[in-house]
Amino acid sequence: MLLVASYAFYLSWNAAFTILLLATTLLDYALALQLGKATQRWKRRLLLAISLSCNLGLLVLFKYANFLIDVTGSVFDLVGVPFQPSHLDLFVLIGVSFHTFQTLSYTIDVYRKEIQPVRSWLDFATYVAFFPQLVAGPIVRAKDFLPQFERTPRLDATRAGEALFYILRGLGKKILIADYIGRNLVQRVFDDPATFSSAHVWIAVYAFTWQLYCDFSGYTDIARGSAMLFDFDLPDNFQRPMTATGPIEHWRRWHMSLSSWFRDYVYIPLGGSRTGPVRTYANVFIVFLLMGIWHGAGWPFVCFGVWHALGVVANRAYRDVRGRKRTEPLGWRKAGLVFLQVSFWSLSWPMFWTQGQTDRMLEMYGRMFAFEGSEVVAPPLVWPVLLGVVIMHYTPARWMDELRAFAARRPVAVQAAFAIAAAALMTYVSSDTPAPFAYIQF
Amino acid sequence: MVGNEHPGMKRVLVVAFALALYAVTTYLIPGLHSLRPWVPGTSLPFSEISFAWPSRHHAGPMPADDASERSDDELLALAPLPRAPAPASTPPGQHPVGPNAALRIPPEAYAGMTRPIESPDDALSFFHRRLRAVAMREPGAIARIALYSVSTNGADRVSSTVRQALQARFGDSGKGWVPIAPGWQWQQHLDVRWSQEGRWRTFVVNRGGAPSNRYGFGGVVASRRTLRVASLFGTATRGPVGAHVGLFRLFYQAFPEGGNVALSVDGGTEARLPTQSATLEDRVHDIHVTDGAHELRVGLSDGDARLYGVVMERENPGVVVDGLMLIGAFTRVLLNNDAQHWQGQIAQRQPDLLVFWLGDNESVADSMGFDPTRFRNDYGEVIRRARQGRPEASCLVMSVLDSAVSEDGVFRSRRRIPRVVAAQRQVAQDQHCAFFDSFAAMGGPGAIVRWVRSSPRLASGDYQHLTEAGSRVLGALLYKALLKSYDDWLDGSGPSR
Repeated sequence: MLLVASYAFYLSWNAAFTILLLATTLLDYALALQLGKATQRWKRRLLLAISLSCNLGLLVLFKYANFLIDVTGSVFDLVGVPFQPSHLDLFVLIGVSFHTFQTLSYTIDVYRKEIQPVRSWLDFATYVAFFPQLVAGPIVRAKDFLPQFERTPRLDATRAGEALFYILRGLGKKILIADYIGRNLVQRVFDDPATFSSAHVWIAVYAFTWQLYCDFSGYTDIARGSAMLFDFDLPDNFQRPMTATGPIEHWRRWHMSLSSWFRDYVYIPLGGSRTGPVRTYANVFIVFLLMGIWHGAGWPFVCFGVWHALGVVANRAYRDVRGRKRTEPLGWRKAGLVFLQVSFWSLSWPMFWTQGQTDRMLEMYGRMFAFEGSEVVAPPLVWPVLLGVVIMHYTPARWMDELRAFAARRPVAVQAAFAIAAAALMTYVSSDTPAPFAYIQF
Repeated sequence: MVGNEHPGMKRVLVVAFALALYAVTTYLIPGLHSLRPWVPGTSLPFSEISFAWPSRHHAGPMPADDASERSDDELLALAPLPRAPAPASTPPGQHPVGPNAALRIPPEAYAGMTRPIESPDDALSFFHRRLRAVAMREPGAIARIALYSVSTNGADRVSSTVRQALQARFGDSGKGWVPIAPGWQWQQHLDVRWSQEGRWRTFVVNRGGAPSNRYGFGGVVASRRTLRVASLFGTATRGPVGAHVGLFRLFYQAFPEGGNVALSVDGGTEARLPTQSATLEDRVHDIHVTDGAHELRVGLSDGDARLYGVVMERENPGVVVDGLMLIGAFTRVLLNNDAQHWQGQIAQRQPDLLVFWLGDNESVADSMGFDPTRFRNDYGEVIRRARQGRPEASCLVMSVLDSAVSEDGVFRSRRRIPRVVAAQRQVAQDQHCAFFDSFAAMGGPGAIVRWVRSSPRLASGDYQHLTEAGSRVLGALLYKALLKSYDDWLDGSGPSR
């Protein structure tokens, strides 16, 4: 039933995508079964290579083909060859990055013999197509998800209460915070930075940090809550990332399913930190460069990857110099480091959120560093909303855990009343429809 | 039973039922209409959260030519980056042999036009004659367009698109008008390098306060605020136009307390221009340079001065488009500009086509009522007063753009927009001006919502202003309409010559 619902979900959007999803599911299912049987190394490697080629090929085709065509055209231009290949007219394959990485993790884990290939096609197909998380994560590992099929689903009252809490919290983050900040403070600036004062552009860049966090973590909350209704557990994707005191810690708290995927399937196979400092730094750089490119096709995304790669490498180098005996920063020093990290993170947004347009990215930075003008125009309510989300983020984590537990145990009448109030508030505050979830485009 | 095996499911069902009850209640009780989760004609609640990137949601009936249905490449192809070949250069004094047929515009040049210019009374014939003279490379033939607009063109994007396209086709005769200093924070000028040192005190026509109510051709006059103050006007170093200048013409006011203006070209020797005069009068000062890349520095050496702006032109045949942005202005504020003075400025500038793209602020001022009669009277008076400066000039009124406001949680076009457009059309008819229905050209009712949601985004999230891409699209639509109008005139199928 879950499988049917998931496929109906995708079919209602795009039939071609559904067919592709089915085809890759069948392919990976079959390849994994063969991997489970194969004993010869060359055969196992061949099967893995086929899976990698097909899945990554799909990703490259739908996400990077036109960018690579542009790069090719630029190269031809540079050497004076009058050949300009045309773009491919392809539909947007939503969540292609998430879906690809998810299925790749399965075949790689089977290849590594960390898991056995799943026999039930239904279970595997449901894992691949599970609608709460396929389009924007979290990226779920097969070894964590597939065993959940073996247990008898049971939804107790507390778990249902928690699920509802997550769903409502996610919708609230998305509609009441992310969309509101985006609509009233941020989006206009990213659309047309030249018409805003430098101060407004700076504030918009910082505000986007919170907008994107609420948007993305809101989606994760909805995904987790929805999965819980079917008695499935999805991993958390965020752990208060804006409390990090440096880039390394930040990536351990932000989009954790992605960073752990790259750690396990790129960083460690490259040698990780076992190959000496220079090679380690190179491995770190490669991983974060790829993570940047994963987000999109365009030179700004390359810059995004380089930016964060440099940040992590510098952070690691600093740690190596300080040695392992380092004390946790406290008080004002910690606050200062947190502010620096949030600033470092925020400064990357013109690379990330200008739709791959290099000139728009440069225009934003130009406006920021022109330091011209101080006027900031936004509805008054934007500021308490921003302040509220910042304050909530820095409250102790256990307060949110206690709130969740408290909410989950309330009588159903109280939960229903709260749901109605939340729905009314969201309807009232939102525009006609909420803006799409930001990470769906990836 | 499900409830026994899955006690949590019972909880979920109860909450779902409560939400359904709430939803139904909002439809049954009229006072709760703003809390309705879904309004007929819109997409289902939250459906776009999962499906929508990039969104193709439509807020209303689809016009035949909806920008959001186009692919990104098609959409941006509407923005006429100057791909048109430069007109064949003919030595001055010689006319190309042949009938108008040789000057006709190929249909593909205005393919994609969504709305023609309405010109029933031959309102553009003077401008068309000037364009033809330019096309025939008559010596000194320059076709000048003065585009008065509000914040919808605050960054010169629409006028720059038209400028670049027309200059690519007919010839680049320079950037045109640039004010001494920005009168509004968000004002900018494209196709030129324009910067200030120190601070000017600016008076803009919509805020008033200028001495003797003289705001110049562009609605902005500047005087000294800081001891050291200057403006720089340079040819563009990037972009297809604006890279050459042959004439700098300074528009300024001479008055009894006037001081000296320091002028220098390309960092050379400073020339002093006295602005003292026994009586108040408007003057111009020309600086001729060899056609090429140059920079003019206009500073105040001693005393004060009242400066309007600088015109940057070339002598070769071509088109000039003056972007005259009056950000935040209601139409009637142009009447703050002393009538005789403004007419004198227009007479000095000699535009061949006066374009009035006003009224957007009236159309979005939700707290104020819209009085079509008063609006028509004000608008008509503005046009009448301007045209007295150059009676032979053609005249074009552009309608307001679509803009939207949230009603019951749904963004809809402002109800007064069609009335504003109708009033503007009437003004155009009354004043014997041509009319370009920008509102219809961009797609009519609901267009701004589609433009906000298109990819690339064509309108800003305030559902009122255009993004850079949207400005290029609108500029392209206006350019094509102008081309078509000109071509019809050449063909003789338009109003008689």
